[in-house]
Amino acid sequence: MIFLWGLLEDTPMSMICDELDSRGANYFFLDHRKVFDADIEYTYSGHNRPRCLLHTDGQVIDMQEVKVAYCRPYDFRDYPQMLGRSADDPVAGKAAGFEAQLMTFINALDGLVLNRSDPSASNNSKPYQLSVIRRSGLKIPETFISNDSNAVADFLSRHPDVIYKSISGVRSIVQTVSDTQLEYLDDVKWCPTLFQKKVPGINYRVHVLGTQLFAVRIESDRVDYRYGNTTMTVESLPEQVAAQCLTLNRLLGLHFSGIDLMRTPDEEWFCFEVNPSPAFSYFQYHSGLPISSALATCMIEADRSTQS
Amino acid sequence: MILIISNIANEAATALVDRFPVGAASLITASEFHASFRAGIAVSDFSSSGITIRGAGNSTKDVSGVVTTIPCFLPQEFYYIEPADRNYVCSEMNAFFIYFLSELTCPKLNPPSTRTLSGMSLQKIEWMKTAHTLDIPVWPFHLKNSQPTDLDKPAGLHYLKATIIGDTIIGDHTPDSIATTMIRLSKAFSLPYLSGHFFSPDGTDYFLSELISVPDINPQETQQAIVNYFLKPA
Repeated sequence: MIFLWGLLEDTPMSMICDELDSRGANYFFLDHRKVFDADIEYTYSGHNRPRCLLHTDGQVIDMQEVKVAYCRPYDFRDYPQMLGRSADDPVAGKAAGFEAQLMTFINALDGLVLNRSDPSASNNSKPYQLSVIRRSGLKIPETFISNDSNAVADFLSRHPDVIYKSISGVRSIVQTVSDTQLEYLDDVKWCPTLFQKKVPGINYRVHVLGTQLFAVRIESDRVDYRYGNTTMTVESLPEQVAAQCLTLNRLLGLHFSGIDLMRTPDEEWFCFEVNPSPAFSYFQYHSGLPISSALATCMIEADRSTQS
Repeated sequence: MILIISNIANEAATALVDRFPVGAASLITASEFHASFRAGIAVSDFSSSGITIRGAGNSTKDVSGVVTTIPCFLPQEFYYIEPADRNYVCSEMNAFFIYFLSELTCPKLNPPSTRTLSGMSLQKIEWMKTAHTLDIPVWPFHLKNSQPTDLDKPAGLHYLKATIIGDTIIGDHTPDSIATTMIRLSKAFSLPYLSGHFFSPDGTDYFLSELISVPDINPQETQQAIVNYFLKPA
């Protein structure tokens, strides 16, 4: 069984559902909002194989039948059910417990999980991920992390064109360090801050799915192209870069990822970060790349292979 | 330099620092971070990076060991940050330390993972798979929405806790079979520190019930075993 968990309002998830529907595939979709009223039970008796049952809307799903999973969970604290409730409210506790147990079960699944939570967590520490990127053979921009304003000033004096961004997975808008920010340099003492030498060139986004690559060239009027006027063109990657992207996906323990690259005028390829649960729909919409179709094929084939 | 990562309220962490020779260990806490810890880390060349702890400058190469007594920093520990910014600063600090501790090449009692500062942070459903692979019997359990539900336990159930630190098993009456189990688990998870909880219906055959990688450093015996682990001759 193919198991999907997320929100249908989330375009990547709805695209996958549409693809699976159009092919008559058998799948179970669990709305993420069910964290409040669904239950998940896991029993190990000591003798038989463990049993995991999901109870939702009067149905009982045998989770041991799940062979393929794709999850895009959201923050349940943003849902209307949480309005006026604190983090230690029993409703929040129940939702968090349900979510944690389902994520754990999926993470431990033997089948194909497109985005296991454990490797996906590499995205929660950008420098950790940069370190893995280096091991894949891709270049990384010169990056400095500090809570020492003197050390930062020294780095900035050697690299005048620098951006700063969050270290964690908390979404932040990438910003260029300007004279205004320099006035507040002392504030780094409160929290280590990541500074990165700006790399000139053209942005590429590569989606890796197993051994398949989907690459687009991106041109934008903003440093962070997600917030600018942006055009995308489908392009092939040089053989070595393509191989490095596949290696990176494997090193991170991912099956599906979105890799952000920059091609410099000197034909060097830098990697900024890897998204372990990419919102591929944005890139598919702008480029026409058949990513959702490939994802659906991959899931259906993996599900069939476990039945044969 | 041994780094002890903990929180300010953990008096045992201070006691552990004091068990090491003077100046050999330093306590790192979120509450004192802004005043006691300075870092300048070059991600492309970590070994050349520098840290300053309580005014003393060091290279990252000078860090010779790490003990982490907490799975993560908590927002309330950053009392010196505006309340609205504490969650963000806390996320940033955890992300920084997961990277920083991962890059250190020295012995670590409980190396970080992508999810936690201390050890594997695996839930029972996950570590049970490894235990099964090793043919280590696991005590029956039932979880509903992550909450354990007590299954019927026979009368006269025997309980045993065993902790491994390096190649030392803590506890006076640990059966050899349990000691062997702990050594195998420690190797399988590549974690020098692990604490296992076991049940036995008859006091002979023990079943693994819980596995913990965040060290309880309160027992003096544990503190001394940690010191020995780092100070033993190579």
